[in-house]
Amino acid sequence: MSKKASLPILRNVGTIVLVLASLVAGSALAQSQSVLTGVVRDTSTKQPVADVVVTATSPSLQGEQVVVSDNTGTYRIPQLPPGVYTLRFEKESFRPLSRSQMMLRAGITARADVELLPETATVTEEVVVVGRPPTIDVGSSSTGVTIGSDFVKNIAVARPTGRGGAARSFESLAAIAPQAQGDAFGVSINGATSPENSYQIDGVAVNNPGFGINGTPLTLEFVDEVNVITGGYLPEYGRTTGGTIAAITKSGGNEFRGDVWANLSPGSLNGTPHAVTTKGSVFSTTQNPYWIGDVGADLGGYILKDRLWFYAGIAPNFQRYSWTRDLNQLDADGNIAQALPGTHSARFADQKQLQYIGKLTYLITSDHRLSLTVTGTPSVSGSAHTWGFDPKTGGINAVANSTFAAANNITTASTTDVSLKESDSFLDKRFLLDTTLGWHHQSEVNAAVDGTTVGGTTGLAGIPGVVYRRNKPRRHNITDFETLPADAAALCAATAENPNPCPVTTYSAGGPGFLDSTVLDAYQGKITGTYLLNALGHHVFKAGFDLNVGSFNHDKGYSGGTLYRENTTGTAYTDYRQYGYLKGPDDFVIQTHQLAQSISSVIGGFVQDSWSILDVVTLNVGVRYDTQNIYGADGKNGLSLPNQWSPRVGLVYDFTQQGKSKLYANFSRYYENVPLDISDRSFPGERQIQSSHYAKAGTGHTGCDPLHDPASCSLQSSRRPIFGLAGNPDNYWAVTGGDQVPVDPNIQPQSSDEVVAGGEYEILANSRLGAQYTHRYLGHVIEDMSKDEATTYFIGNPGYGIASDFPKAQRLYDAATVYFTKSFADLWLAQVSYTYSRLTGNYAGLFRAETGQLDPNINSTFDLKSLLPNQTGPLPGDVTHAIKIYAAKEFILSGPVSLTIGLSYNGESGNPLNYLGSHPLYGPGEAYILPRGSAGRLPWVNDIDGHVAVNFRLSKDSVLALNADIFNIANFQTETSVDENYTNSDVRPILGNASKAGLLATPSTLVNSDGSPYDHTTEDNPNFLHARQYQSTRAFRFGAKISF
Amino acid sequence: MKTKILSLATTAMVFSGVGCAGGVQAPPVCAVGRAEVSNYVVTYTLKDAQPACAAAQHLNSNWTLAAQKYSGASGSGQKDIALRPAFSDYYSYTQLNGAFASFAAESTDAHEKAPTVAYATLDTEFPVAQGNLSYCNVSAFTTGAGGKVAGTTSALYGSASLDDKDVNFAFASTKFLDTAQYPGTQFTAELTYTEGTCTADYSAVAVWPWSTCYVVDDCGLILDTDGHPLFTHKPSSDAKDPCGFTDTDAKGNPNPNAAFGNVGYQDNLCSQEFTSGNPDDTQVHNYTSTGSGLLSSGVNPAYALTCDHASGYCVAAKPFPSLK
Repeated sequence: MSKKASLPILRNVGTIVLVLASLVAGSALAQSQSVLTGVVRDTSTKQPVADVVVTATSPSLQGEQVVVSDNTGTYRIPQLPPGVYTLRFEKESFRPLSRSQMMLRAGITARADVELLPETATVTEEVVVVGRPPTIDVGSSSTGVTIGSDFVKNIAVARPTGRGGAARSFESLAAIAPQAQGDAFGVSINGATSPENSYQIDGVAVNNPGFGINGTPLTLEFVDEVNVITGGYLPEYGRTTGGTIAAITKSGGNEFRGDVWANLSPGSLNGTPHAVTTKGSVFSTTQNPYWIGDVGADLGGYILKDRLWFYAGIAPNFQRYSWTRDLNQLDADGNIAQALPGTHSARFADQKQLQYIGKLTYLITSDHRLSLTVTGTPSVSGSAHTWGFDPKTGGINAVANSTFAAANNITTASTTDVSLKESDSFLDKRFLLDTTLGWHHQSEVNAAVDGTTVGGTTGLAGIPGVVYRRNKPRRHNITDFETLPADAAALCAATAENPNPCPVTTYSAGGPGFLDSTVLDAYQGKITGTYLLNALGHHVFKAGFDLNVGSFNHDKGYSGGTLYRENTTGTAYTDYRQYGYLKGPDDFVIQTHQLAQSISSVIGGFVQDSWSILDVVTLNVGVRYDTQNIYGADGKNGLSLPNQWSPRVGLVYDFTQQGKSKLYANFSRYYENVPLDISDRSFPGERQIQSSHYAKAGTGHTGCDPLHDPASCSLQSSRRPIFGLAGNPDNYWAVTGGDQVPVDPNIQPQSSDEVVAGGEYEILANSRLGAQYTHRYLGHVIEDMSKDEATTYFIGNPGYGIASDFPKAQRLYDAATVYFTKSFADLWLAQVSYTYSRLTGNYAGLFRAETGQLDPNINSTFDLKSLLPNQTGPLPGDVTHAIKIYAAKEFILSGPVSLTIGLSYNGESGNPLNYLGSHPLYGPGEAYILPRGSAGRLPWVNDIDGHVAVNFRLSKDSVLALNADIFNIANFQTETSVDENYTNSDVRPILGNASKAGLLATPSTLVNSDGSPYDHTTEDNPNFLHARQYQSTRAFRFGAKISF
Repeated sequence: MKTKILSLATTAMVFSGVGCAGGVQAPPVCAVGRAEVSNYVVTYTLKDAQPACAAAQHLNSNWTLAAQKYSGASGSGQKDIALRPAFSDYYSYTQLNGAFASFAAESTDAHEKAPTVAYATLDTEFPVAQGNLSYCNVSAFTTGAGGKVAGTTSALYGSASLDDKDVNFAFASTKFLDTAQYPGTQFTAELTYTEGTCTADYSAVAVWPWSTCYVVDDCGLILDTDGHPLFTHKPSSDAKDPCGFTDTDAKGNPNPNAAFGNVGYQDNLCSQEFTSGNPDDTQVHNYTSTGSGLLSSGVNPAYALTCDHASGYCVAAKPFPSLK
């Protein structure tokens, strides 16, 4: 970019240094607003010039911002939304200077030092003033990326499948950052699990208050920028041991702008997936996207020009998957012998969602601005004929070994977010005040497929669910549950060679079992004051206070009041899950549902200073304090976590002294915001009671048939005396849960420490070459534990306090990244990174990847000491090598037509694999037979995506873009998950000289938990290390968008 | 709900917004070791100056005790508890495959009634601090635990017959150790015990859950003083069941109603390893070795236990609270 000027001496003006982070974001500002600052000097004397009037204008800025330089020549224009700016410098006796096309990204401090030419200066030659977009952010040591519309328009992002895929949710962009990667519930950042992240929309936290995952899957269409801060951030950011993923929504301006779009991903064009086969299973299933798409429109403009602006949008999206099931006959060895004729069945899975946004911005005066944003994402999935989707994982509910009604739900979910924000400035913009009030609301109802809901006594909600699992003397046959065509049924009949050709390991029937209704709220407020001061350099002092009160109301129950489970010999049914309580010995009350209400209050504050010394060194120092209290259903304090002191200190050095470089180092301590699931389940525990029933009538008792005659199971005469010791006051009933789980009186909040260091250098205009190193380790971790092998539990810190006899929780993350970034200019962009990392320890985070259990702070990881052997090693997500390449270029074909081509490559080396066995109390997959990671690793996963767009400029202000995204162009089908269960038998982990050779030898060094020898022949899992999941297939998404 | 939230928020601001002191966690509610998991093993100590007949009483650790906590009529109360003693002669229990005499609660035989249940209301919902620990007290049980029991005889350790004797347990001054670390799994009580016509006073210390310190052979069978199994197991050629523990019905199929659950080995030994020998103090291993991967006895590893050779149980080694 160039500009003709008439004064030679202005050549140096071209060295305007805009201290922006085009892809590595700064963290200096809260609320995702930015600051333009700099020093104005006289070109002839190089002395600072005071009283220069500096005016900032931008299409994204409602009105204009005017400040005056002080005695040091310094000017600062705070509280600027991201956008493209023009700065104008004016002072009597100097020639005015205007700088345009200055791109300002969210949440950063940009510096533009300028020199003004005195009116009296002599013009000797024409000069060119080179305007260079900002590159290096010399004021910040934070790491991460900011992804704006240039990136989203030119690169294939937000794959249509998976969690938030149909909506093209903003959170998916976080995986673009180096040192970030996808996990089961979102994006893992710097080794932390996704529920540890902070998710924000316009400064309001939108984490699910119950589980920590992102609660609002807002579409990228409504978002201006997404700021992904992976580490090194200042105290104004808190309550996360992961990263911060902050979306800034679009705003209206003094021009009417809008878009209309449509996208469709037809499943018929997808690549062919590899089939997942399971030995020993009578079921074969397939699952493929059928079509996924969204349409929408938005419009921004003014209501009162220069005073009141609006932005509004609406975007429905939909997704449909096809699912098929076939039944097979097995041979005596458990291999599939042949498909059963006439047993093929198919069913769709459907979800519909509406997204909306409304935003008003009101400029009260030039120093006072107010904005109100409302967003919502109501959705419904599943029906009486189609499968629904799990809102947490994004997966479909389809289950092969179940009746449809027993496995499926109609899920009605909704999120609403409201943000009211006021930005004020005082004292000639030297004192700033940002105030935000927010409300995040979520609701979710999981109903039976006939629409009946939790607590209902009619329809499916009134019918108990039944889980069949007989394995002795032989398993059930599929014909026990389903009526097959005659020829198929004949193939399932017992023969002399094969007594059960169509065995079923487990099967669910009857009612849907668990039903619930959830209402989650987070009421938020924060106020941040900023004071700009010159004292031995430039200071940006900040102090703030914030409050977040979350609530989790959970109405939960089991259809028909009870979920029955057959015993392994088929002779009895147990009330496997049943809410209720005993009033006295054998005096029972069964509850069709229970309401648990939990509340969390978090109060925090911080002070920090960003001190720029001689424009060469910047010292960032501050501290944050938070305190969290969690209250259970009884309103009593369940968990108190004060004293969350978070020191942060960082140093940034620009060795070029021209804003072209930086070396930085930073230390931070972060604390976790504990989600309310811990209270929902522990304060107090879920009160349940169980009894057992004879399956068949006999002497002195009747029989219980929960599927065909549930009333028969309510007869006292069907109940079996409980097995127990003499003296039990209850002869038929057992109690679980009920009391509040005890908490270590000296429990400490969960924390993580981080050291980051790195450097950047501007090697070309708009381009940075950098390297960064991140080291993270855990402080205390909060988990539930049992000292006495599941007889009693408490909540504490493993390795500390009353849990000092447990090992300390460890999660060590080390990552080194080299990267090159070229922001979009001259019609092309590029972002390339390579990361080498290690993630080891015995604690993965807030969910267990091995089992999918999402119970933050009460996962099974530390529950029992007998679960702990061999747990230390490479953790899930330990991807040693990660390569991310994104590049795009726009070609001007003719005057109004351009072509954009974007390509991206993601390559990751494989995750570690384990030898898992069954634990006698906790079941399959919970025991580490050999040290974690002993089973090798998954192969590299490579993914090449492409984006092609043709842009037609229809008029000065309107463009039609036709585009196609192609995901996984090569249709790579690498396995991304395998069965890690070496055996489903209860076994003891191998200790001491644990070796794979010893395990595999005959006799094996492995022994069963009862001490008996392990038998490879009968106890090995035939599916061990067989693929459970492959890469998502090649997928296309076609889109059209008119922008005007 | 919103009013509640606001009041909580205000409270939180006042009490924790700027505090520097450590967090004050809610005290654990009063808890007891749950009956469906296990009984308490009780050490009874005869008090001084008791009638001479007390020397012949059969009150020892074979008399285990079960406890349960109830929710009350409304479901919201959490203070009602029940105690029920049981003559749990573990040796007999094992050898008779669980069908040990006298205490089948549903028995209609008046001579085989278990002692009746003693009810009480805990004095407080939450433990009361005393020194570094806290306790939940029961001043008085509303009903005594008494009844007629039929006897068992242990040839090995000389338990004499209790046939047709009335027994009665009257508990008083019951005190549960209740902290986050020790959730009601140890208690002490004063006991007035009557056996036949003889009444005597005892003090009792109970530890939950029960665990044993006698030794077994490779099949988990208890050995006599000569190291021979008290009872021989069934012949078996099944490699998976070398001890022949799998109970079968008349057709040779596994008997699902086997009272002992068809487990081949005991899993609640305080010892984690199967060894041979006699009742042995070295078998009192109530800790779980982090590295072993084996299940422990389930007794809190901080409890000080010793092996009671008379009963074969791991019992409290020190006066209440019996801590290491």
